[in-house]
Amino acid sequence: MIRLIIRRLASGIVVLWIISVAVFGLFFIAPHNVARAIAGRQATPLTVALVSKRLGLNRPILDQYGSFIWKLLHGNLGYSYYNSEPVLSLVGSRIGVTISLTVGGAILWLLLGVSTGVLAATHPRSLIDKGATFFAVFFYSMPTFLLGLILLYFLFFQLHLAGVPIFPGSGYVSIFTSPGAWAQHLILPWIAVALTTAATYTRLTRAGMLEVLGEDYIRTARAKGVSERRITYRHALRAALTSVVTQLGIDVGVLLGGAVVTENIFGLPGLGQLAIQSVTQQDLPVIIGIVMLAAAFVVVCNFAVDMCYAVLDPRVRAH
Amino acid sequence: MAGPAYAPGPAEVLLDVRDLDVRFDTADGIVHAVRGASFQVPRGQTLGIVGESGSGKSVSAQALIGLVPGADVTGQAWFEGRDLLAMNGQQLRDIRGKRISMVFQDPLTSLHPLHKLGWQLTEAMRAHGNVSRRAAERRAIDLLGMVGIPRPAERIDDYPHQFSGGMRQRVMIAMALALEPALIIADEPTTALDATVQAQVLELLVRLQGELGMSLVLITHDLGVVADLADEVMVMYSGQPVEQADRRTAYYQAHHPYTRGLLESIPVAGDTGRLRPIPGQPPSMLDNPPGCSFRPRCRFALDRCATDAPPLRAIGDIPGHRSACWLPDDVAGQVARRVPVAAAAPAAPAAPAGPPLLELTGIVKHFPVRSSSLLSREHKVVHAVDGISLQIGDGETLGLVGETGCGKSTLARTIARLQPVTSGTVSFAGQDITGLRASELKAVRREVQMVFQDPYGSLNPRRRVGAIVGEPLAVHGLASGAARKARVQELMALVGLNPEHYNRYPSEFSGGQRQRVGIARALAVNPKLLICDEPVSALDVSVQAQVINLLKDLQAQLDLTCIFISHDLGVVEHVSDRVAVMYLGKVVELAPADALYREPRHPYAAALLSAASVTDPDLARQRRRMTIEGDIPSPVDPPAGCRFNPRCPRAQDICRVTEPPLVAAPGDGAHLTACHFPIETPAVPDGARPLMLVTSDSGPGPAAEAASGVPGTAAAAAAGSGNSSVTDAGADAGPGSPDAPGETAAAGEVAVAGPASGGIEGRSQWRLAWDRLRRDRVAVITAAFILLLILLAIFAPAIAQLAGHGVDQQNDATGLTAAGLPRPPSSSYWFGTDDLGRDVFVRTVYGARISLIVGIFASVSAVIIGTTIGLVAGFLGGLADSLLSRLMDLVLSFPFLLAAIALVSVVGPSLTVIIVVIALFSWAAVGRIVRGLAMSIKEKEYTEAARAGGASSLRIMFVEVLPNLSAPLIVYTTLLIPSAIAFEAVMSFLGLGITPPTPSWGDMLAESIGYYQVAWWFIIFPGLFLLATTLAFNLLGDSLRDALDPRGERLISALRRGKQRRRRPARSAAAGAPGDAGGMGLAGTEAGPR
Repeated sequence: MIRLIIRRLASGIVVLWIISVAVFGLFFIAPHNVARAIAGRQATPLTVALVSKRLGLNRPILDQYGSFIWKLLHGNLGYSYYNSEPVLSLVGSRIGVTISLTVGGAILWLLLGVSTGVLAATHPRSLIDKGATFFAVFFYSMPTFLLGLILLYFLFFQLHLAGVPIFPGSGYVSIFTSPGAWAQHLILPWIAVALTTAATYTRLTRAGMLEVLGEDYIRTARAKGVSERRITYRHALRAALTSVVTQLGIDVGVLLGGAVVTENIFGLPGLGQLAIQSVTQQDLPVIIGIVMLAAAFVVVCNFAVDMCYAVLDPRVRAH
Repeated sequence: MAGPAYAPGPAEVLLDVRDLDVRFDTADGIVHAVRGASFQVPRGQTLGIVGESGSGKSVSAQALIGLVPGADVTGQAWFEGRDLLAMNGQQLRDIRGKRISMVFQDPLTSLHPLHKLGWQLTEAMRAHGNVSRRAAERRAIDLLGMVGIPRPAERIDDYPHQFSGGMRQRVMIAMALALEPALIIADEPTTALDATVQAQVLELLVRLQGELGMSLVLITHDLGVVADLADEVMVMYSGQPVEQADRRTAYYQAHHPYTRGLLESIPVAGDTGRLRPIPGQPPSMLDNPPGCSFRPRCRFALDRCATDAPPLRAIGDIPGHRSACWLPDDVAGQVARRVPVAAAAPAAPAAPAGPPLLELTGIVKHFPVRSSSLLSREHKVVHAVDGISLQIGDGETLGLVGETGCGKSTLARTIARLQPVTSGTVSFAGQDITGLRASELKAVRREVQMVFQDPYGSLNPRRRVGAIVGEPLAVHGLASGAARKARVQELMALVGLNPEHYNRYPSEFSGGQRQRVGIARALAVNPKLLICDEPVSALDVSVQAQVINLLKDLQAQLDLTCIFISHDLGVVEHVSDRVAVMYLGKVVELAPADALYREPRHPYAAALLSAASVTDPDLARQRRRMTIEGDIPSPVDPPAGCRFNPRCPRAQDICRVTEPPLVAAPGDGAHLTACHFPIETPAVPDGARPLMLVTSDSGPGPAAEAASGVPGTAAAAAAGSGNSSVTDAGADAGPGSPDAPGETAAAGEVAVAGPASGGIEGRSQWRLAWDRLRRDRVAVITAAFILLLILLAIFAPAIAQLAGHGVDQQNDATGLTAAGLPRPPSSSYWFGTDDLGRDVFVRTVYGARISLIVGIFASVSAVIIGTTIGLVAGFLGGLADSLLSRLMDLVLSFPFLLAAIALVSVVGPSLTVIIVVIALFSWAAVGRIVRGLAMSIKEKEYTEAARAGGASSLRIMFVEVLPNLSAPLIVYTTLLIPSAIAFEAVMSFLGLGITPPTPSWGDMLAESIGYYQVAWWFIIFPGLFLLATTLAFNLLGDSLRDALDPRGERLISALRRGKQRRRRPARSAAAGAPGDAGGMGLAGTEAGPR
């Protein structure tokens, strides 16, 4: 078990390192003039040269990479070109929003996706199954931003017109300021993220459950006289859970790195919003910081998934 | 414990089943699985139900207690005063596990892998009453002890994977016993177990049944098990009981031609004569012709058999003996019973005179235990084959016997050079072939061919039978065109297939026929050595006999040297001149078949022989089983010294230290044994050798009884042509007519078994998929929509011209209101106008162009890259695989959307960049799937067969692997397109995709945001098109998947049908089939960017 943890940790670190190389390569040795890009279109050659010097772009590449990594290891992600704020504190101020969005959305889509999947699998080929399957493929095909626009149109705009302003159209209130307002601001984003994501879970759960329900050990449970309810949840769902956990790890990991689209639509000042903003402002250190952070989230979530496997499946522990 | 000689009276009947009928409604029609079965289970006794696969034996038992969901069950089943079939779900649940419990076939899959044993054991108790957890646990420990699990108190917290197969089956039995039920139904309880373990489990089952006074229903295909253990026997065929009788009557006075045919078709120890298979094969459960269902295969069919179905009627004066046959009562007992020929001086199998054809010297094959990590230091290996030296003479047949993990299949694959040896040499016809390079090996491959085990896995499902059989001819350039076809048809005729079926596909043949195809393929290049790896173990008894006869005939006719591998001792003895018994990678005994079976010298060989099933009730009970304890140790960590020592009753100190060499027995140079303390004389003094060999004149033997009991036996026996084999094994060894070996059996099979389609021209998987697709309404509608969209995209300029507005034309005058706002839909602007007065309809149509271009180009390039890399990784394996897999994992773990945004921010947005970015991040998902598929196809026996046939890796890749990948790839491409389209829309929406003014749906939606209060059309139309397009592709992809790989459907029908598990070989490759779940997302994020 300990060996498993060490092995997974090591491979996570390797992944992070490779991503750091890729990010560094992309931004510092890509065939384009970083200094000019940063200095702006109207910059004089002198400014460009100055920027180049300040960034150390005239130093050897390995040197540059060394200092890049050195700073990274000390948690120093650099300073924003735009307002000279440390990237770390910039990111820190935004992360609460993204975490709120992700966690709330994840709870919602898990409930929604797994329950519809179970319903569909326990009533194969029935109307319930067909309904759930269509629900899944419909929202699976729905781009999040489109759903966001639709939600805004009906639940924000039309309700406002009708004089029932329950849902705000944008903005964010910290949970520590006012939990009520926090939830109120996040309901629409949660729904948008959850509906489009739940579809995958419906399909996964349905397929997994159908497969498990055909297994011999389910028949064994029936032969023991165990109730159908217990078979569904304690036997079948339990065994179908691993694929759900994998997917959850991927989704949460990716979303924590920035729910770019959702935050953009609902005007949430999270990491995704920051990313878009920095791209438009060509704020390189911030972009790098966010990409590295996002990669770290993915790695951490993958690690968590592996640990979950070990908890869920005794056969993994044995290895 | 002897069975009663009379029918059980009502008082003694525990379960009384009347007119049980089970039907399933399937896509192909109604399957009538059980047809009016009536039977009784006497209290405290054992009813054996025998039948081949599909005979309805399992279904009838499971239907009684409601374990076949989706089945339509009628009839009555009286149990303890109540009708089981009239009960509702709750009432049945109260019975299940408490009054009636079950033991299933496969202990590896019948226990929940994720729950502790204690949990699973106590669950049954707690489901049926108020038992405290503690009390239940104590009982569970007692039960485990009762079924012979050592240290039960410790093991109760273990998981199933920590137990061996035999131990798991003991746990299953403990579970069934938990509440001391009145009846246990054991459904093939030992079929999945090795012979020595099988003996232990059966013994346990019977002992406990006796101790606890339960009734037992024992369902099996193995006549030997029933002969040994049952009190009453019921033989089922095609969903009906065809014969019922007490144990001895069923065997010695069998009446129904099917029962008699079964008894005749089983190879019996000591007998090497020609088998008498039942021609043809069981009928489909779908069609229900009038008359007797066995008639097409029956040698004695009368006219009325075709029209009147015979009822089960009393036969003769033996109480309880009933048979469903119109033949007169006095045919009972007319069985050309295979009685072993007594110690007729064995025609000593010619000791290989010339130089041996094949010589193995010290063959060792070790497999590294897979460890995915660089950190783990220990390099464990599986000692699959550990130093084997053998010689096989020209024309000889060597049998290899042993249980799971003994290395017999590995040895075969090593000889065929399907895998390299770790050390040792293989020389063939005097030439050392161990180190040959691929090009040199090709010549050897012409001489050495293999017949594989799995009739389903060994033929490429996407190739026609003609192409499969002709493949070795093509590879070796021996014949082409018409000559090849002629040769293939000649081969098909040779193995008893209809040459007209040249163009059919494997799926259109039955299991036995497929094995014939595999044999024809092996013979195509006129090999000298034929290696048969469990060629009949997946076949039913009656069909098995057909294939064995065919192989024997061919061997004699073509002068083949054979290595015949099987776990079935009877089969091996029947075909082999010499037999090698293997245990944990070693040969422990090697001797002429006759000598080995009569006087085994190694304790393991003796135990194995005594555990083999004996299809004769009296002999079965007379013999003394020599049960050995425990399970086969892991080949990763074989015991020191003699590998058998931990289980050996004769083991002494030296056995634990020194490995015994394989040496000749004193006085018999051909009988080699690797044992320090070999059995010198037959183990049991009273003439009962471990395995029965009873002479026909040895007193009240079965043969004498059978012959004397029924007048007219001789005449009937003479009428049946195969009877001579009983007394004169030698004379009948050759085929009747040399040109048509297996003629009778084969012709019968072809005539009977024509699948429903019946055509000579086969229907390919593509045709079948196309037919399924055409019937799928969703597929038709979505395909039509996509086609329309493509047409719109292609003719976008023409449409713009027709509408009168260019795509970027800003119609200030007509397109905007006086206030400068967009105009609603009208006859000139179908979809209204946008904020610049441009025609939304024209722009939406142009948007389709962008979306389709991005979707199709990005997906196709991702699939091409992914397929190439996945194929290389999966097919080459080794270091390339490790590196490429890591690369794919890396790409998949990249935060995709952010990385794409960052990339675009560096290089600037454009159509090409979008396509490249999508392809760059989505190939890995394809690659991973293709890798998995390639690895599973590589493991398939048809790929091995191609390699054994001499095909190069490249040829295998293109001929065997790619065609099997194309269906999933089509599905993946279709499902990747909507992800790519959605991704493009997102990027454009964020202003990082298609640059304005080029219309893209995402960009149009971004522009519309400011206007949705005043111009709904501006947002609705592009949004609708985007959603409809992604939805259409996803739905079409799902339909394609269902059509091309109806696995999901099969899952459901398996679920509804209550899985009927065939006795299948254990080598099932890891399922690489496309998952039903999720579909394809970009870079593993199934739902695309958020």
